Amino acid sequence: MKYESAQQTAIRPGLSAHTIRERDTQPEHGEKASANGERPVRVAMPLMNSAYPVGKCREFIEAIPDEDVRAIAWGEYYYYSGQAELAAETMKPYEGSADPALRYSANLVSFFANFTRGRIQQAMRAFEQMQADLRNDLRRDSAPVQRAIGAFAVTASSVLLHLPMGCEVDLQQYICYLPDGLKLWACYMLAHRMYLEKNYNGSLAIAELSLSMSLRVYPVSAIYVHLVAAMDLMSLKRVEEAKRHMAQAWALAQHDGFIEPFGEHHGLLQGMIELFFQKDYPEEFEKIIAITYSFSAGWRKIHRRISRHEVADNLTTTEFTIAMLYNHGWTAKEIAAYMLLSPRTITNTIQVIYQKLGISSKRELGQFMLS
Amino acid sequence: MQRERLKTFQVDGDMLTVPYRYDEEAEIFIGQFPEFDTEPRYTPNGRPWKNVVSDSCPYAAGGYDDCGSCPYLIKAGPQDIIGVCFHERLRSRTDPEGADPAAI
Repeated sequence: MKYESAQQTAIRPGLSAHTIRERDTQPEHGEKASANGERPVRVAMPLMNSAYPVGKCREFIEAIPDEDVRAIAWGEYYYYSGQAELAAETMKPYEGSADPALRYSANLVSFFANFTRGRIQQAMRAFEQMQADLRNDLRRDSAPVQRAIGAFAVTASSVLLHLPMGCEVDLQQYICYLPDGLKLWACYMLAHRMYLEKNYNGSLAIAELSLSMSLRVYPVSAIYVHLVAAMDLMSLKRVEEAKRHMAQAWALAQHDGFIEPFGEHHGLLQGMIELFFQKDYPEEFEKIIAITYSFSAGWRKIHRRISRHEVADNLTTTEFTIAMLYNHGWTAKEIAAYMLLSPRTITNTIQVIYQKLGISSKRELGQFMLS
Repeated sequence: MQRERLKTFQVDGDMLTVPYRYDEEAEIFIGQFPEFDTEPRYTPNGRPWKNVVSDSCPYAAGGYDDCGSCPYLIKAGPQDIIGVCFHERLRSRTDPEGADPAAI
């Protein structure tokens, strides 16, 4: 497989890796024209990287000519639509593929799908494979785009699950080599990392800027970026703006059934899921909450194994939401007004949370919330 | 199995008994604590009982905005949800030995 580096592209007359012209001529279906035009170069995470028509995702995948890229796209589809088992099964044959784009994609999806299923050993195997591949790519000085995909995959797993990277690499250094759809999701990761560092304004700036700089709509990536923006705005107590981002994320996700990203971010969205889905989309709400429970159970299993941080593992989703808001400086009265409950109910719930966690102060609560 | 228990908290010469009910899901006993913000209770020394969840007052220390993180809140046990505030400014005026906040 021959990869074209952005540098090589940049020196071709009249073309730059960053020009709109190249962006507009880039073929769909997770393939990119190679430098010599002989064969298409596969791009990792083809669905995430595609500007498919919203609501027509399945038709889009069916039309992908490359059988392997199509299979990877189906695996992604199953994962985003909350079918973790099918996603893991679909990706399994590609976990050891000779093609780095297929291999990184398969391992990234397998990692998340398996830990959602509570299959921690399989999840960690996928993570370790990505780390080993990236270390090899760095050592062999592989093409920048290949190192970029590796940095993308390992950073994703590391940032989102708070795992050690296992090698020295800075995604920001490689982001320019990624295709546009993945670039947008990489911005989501950088924003997410900034959110975890409590730099909510910085994270929001990345999220909003990256959305406004996208010429095309990459639904999967954009859903995640809207969600991180909503998380930031909730932490900044700008509820109405958070609702707008939530609505935009749902508009991109609803017709393709992409509920997984909402379940993954339930706690960090601090009550937005309840507010947005519970009354108007009860069926989806139930599915999202089920995803939240299985996702957080897997998260805790991995976390306990690797990190020494304590995690709140016996709270209901509502208790977790209240704990997150309280930890972010909301008063009981503010939480009550936002969640349409009485202040007394909120203080009672916080007392229950404290008793379940065996703590007695907000200072201690922060240690369980990881943000 | 017993579904309800009583636990007595003893601080600053006062004793307060709180019912605990068994929570099936959490598999622990959860205390049903009084709401001191609306129904204040003082120790014989004029010091107020507080819930760790209460918002901190202007005299709080410790850099957090809850009573639970404030060093003036004294509890019988480290994980207790209620305790007594030992800041002199919050002692009841009706207590003969207590300080008059206005006089400090």
